[in-house]
Amino acid sequence: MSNISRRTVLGTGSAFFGLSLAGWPTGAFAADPLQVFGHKTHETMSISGAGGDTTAPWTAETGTPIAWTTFDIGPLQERLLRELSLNQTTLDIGYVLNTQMTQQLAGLFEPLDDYQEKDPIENFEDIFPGFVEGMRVGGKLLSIPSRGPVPGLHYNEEILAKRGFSKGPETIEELAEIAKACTYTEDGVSVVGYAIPLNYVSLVQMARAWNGDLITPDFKSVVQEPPMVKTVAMLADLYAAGALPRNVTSMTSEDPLTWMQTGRAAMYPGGFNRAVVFNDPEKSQFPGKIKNMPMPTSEETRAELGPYAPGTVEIWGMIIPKNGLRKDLAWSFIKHMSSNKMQLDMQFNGNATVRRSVYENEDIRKALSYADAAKAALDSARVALPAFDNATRVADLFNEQVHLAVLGQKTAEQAMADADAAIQPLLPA
Amino acid sequence: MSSIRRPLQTAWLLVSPVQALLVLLILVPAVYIFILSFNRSSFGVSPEFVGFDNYIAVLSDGRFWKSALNTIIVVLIIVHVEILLAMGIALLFASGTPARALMLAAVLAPYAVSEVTAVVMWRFLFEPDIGLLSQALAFLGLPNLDWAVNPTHGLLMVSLLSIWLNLPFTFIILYSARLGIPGELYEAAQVDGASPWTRFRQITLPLLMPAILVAMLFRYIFAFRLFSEVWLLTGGGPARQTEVLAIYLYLEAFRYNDFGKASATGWLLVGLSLILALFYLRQLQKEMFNAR
Repeated sequence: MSNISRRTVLGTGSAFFGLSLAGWPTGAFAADPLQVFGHKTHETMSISGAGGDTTAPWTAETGTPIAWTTFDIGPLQERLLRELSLNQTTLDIGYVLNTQMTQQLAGLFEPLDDYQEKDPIENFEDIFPGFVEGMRVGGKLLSIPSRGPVPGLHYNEEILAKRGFSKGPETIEELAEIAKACTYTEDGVSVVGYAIPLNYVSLVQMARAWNGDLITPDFKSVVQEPPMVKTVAMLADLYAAGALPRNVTSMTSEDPLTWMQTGRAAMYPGGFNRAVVFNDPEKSQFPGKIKNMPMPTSEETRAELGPYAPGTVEIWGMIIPKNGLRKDLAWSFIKHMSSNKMQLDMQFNGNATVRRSVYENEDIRKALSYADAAKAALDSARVALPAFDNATRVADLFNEQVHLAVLGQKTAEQAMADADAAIQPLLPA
Repeated sequence: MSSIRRPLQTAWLLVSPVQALLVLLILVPAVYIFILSFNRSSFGVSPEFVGFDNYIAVLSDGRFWKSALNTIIVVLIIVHVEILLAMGIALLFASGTPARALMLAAVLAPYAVSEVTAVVMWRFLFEPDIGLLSQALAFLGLPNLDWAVNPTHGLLMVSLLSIWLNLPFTFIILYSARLGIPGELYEAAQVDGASPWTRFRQITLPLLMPAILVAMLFRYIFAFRLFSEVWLLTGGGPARQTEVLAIYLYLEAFRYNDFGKASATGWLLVGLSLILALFYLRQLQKEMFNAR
């Protein structure tokens, strides 16, 4: 066994340190990768699936590989904003939610109107106009929409059939009826009717059955109005009937997916793109049996709104840091990823596209059972919560009161009155 | 004189890198946070001096007091139950137990489990419908632990989990202290006719006291920072009813990006934990230094 001398250790260590300072191996032999901060979903939808690696053509053309750094939603926002607050950053692209498009943060993002004018994204009008508007602050376009999941209603047709229902609910009232009927225990397995994550997006989606909202686009709280009060009262009633999971207040947004895949829940309100995992034989115990539809309207609003409630959307977009160093390169990546072809390929990878034409594509319609339903929901969709500085705090205050009402510690009316009182001082003047 | 000074200077020189690190990694950030606590600060805006506004805002927030109360309750339960259990197990081991190595490994094992893994494990075990332990409780006709919806059950579950995770730390301190007590003292007491209870009161407890105080002090400090168990188990819910101070601080800093309020909360947290630990610090000083 050879001895390693102190001199060898110090010498080798110094050599590696010196080389790392000189930029070896990354700096010497390859272009610096494009640094992207996003959620794991953004990476997966971009590089893997039936649509293939959509970033590969861009890398081949520019010679620049992509370095993805992914985080959960909260940490992503925090880490990204911290990077954008520095004097300078090596970050090239960041993924943001439409709720971050606030006056306070606007100065951290590079305005993109000039880039779009000089070197436009093809067929830009094809991107849902509501999505593009959601990414403007003070008239400036700060982010290009890349993903717009719109929730629908997923239901397990086998469970529904077992309880005497041949199709999904036609009204929100029928949804509650089916949820109660599909709550049962058989052979030791308990099934709940409705596995809903108790967050503001799901609540607003339900309230849209009565054309309701939490905060209007002109920043008025409508939480005390009948649509939201009826929604919360309905959920409290379902919880009391055992039709919601017992631990509903501590469920993460991912938990209901497992419940649906394993047959522990009959219905779930969530992104249409979830249909892929719900019906994948390798991931679900009910492949091909979990159907979806847009959220139905109420008996009261059906005549006015039609059969489906206006969709609720949260939009992800790509930004270029104002303090970034390679803004033209970053724009070329955004332009590439926003093109028709890449949006189409990403849809095959499970993305929720921002382009109308993708949902109209025949191959997509054949491959994805939910394409028509998602397009129908998107046609009338609006954001769950408009962007303003205290949006996150408002969402949490609202969730807090919803929990109290659902657990029966307050009436729906009282809870929403308390939510309104807490929210009002936080709204933009 | 110079012969005395030189070793002192050398000693200072030798410890200075560590001291420099402490200043750099603890003192400087602490001072920065203190300054920040007097400013309104967030992403995208320049800090603005607001005097004591952040402290006033935190102290007049009912959620802060609720989370402070939750923290104190949980910390008191965790530290005291843990000390009692650790002392019981340490004395049992000291009195001789079969398969000692195996038993020791069993007691120490939870310390090797990461907090995240432990919480995920417990979440599965106590899942209200399909959790193994929930089913076992139901089978025995015992009420279920409704940790997800009942705040009292939630805090109880957090306490149990934290005790399970940290018991080895307290146990090791007390067990090694117990092994350090000379056997002759017990032999002499036995010859004098002292009962086991008297031997415990007159020999074991007084001689273990410095170790108990050290263990309690450390556990107070660690337990006050309790975060991951609560965050991963209940997220502070339902309706922020199981929130503890570290979660309150986290939300202010990293969810609402209100760095001024978060910094003020941080300093209040330090103050509260100092008040709570003060009694033990004084006792420790008496036991360990005044006795000389």
